[in-house]
Amino acid sequence: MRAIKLFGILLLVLALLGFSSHPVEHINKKPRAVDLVGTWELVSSKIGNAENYTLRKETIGYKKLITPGYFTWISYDLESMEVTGLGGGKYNVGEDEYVEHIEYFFPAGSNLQGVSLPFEMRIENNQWFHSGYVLERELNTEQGEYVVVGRTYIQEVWRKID
Amino acid sequence: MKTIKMLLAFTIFLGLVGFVPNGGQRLVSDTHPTIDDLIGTWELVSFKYGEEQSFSPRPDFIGYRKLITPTHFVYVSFEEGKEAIDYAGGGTFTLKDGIYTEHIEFYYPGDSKLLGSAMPFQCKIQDKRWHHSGYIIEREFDIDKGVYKVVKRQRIEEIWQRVD
Repeated sequence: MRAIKLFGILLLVLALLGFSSHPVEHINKKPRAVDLVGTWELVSSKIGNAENYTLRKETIGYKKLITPGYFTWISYDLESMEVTGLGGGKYNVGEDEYVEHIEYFFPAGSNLQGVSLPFEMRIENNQWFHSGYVLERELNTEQGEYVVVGRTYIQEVWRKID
Repeated sequence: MKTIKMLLAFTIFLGLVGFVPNGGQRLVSDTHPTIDDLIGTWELVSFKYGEEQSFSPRPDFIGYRKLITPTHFVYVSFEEGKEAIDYAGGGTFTLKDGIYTEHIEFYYPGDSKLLGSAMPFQCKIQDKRWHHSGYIIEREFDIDKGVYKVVKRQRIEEIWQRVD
C-alpha cells in the first residue's frame, strides 16, 4: 500500500515536471519562429531575370543566423575571412510570410535602414525557400524622402546546419 | 513516520531528476551556462576595456548586438538609425565548463589584425545578463621568422542583456 502511494507521488512529480519543461503556450504563439531559430547556409539562388538557380560559389560563405526575435545574414570570403555583405534587424513571421525590419546593412548604399521587407517563406526537409523583392532606395533631394529606385526579385534556398 | 519516508523518497527522486538533464554530471547548471542559456539575441549594456577602472555604458547612438544560435555567433556594432556598421565578426562557438570559445570565420573591417583561430572567454549568466570577460589578442605575421606574433593583448569585460 505504501509502495503504491510512493509510486503515485512519483507519477505526480513526473507529471508536474513534464508540464514545467514544455513551454506549450510559447510554441503556440510563435510556431514558425521556433522552426527558424538556428543557423542557415545558402544552397542556391535565382536573382532577377535569371532562368535557373545558381549554386553558392565554393569560395563564398553565406549564412543567416536566426534567434527568436532577430536575424543577421552575412556573406564572406572563405579564404580572407572578409565580410562582403551583411544585414540584420528584427523579424516577424506570419502565415507563409517572413518580414525583415532592417536595422543595419553593409555595404551601405541601398538605404534600407528602417525598411520592412516581406518575403514568402516555405520550409521543407530542413530547407527554407525564401522569395521576394529586395529594394533599392534613393534620397529624393526635392522631397527629402527616400524613394524606391530599384527592385530585384530574389529566390533563395537555405539549408539548416545546426 | 510515513510522512518522513515519503519526504525522503521525494527528495531522493528530485536529486535523481536533477542529475539526468546534466548527462550524469554533477549539478553544475547553477554556475555554468548551457548552450540553451545563450541562444538568442544580446545587447551590450556596459563594458570595461584595458586599464579602465570602471564600466562604461554603451552610448545610445551605437547599437551592439550578439546573436547566438545552437552553433554559431555573430556580433555587429552599428550606428542607430543609420545603415552603416562599425564592425562585425562571427563564426562558430563552443561552450564547456563556463568557457565560451569563439572560432572566428569572418570579420569586418577586413584589415583587422588576425585574431587567432580560437578565442576563449569566461561566461557567466546572472539575472538574464551575460558577463563576458577575457583577452583580445591581435596577431601579426612575422615575415622574418615565418610565425605569427602577438602584437596586442587587451583585457575586456562586457555585460550583455538578453533582448528576445
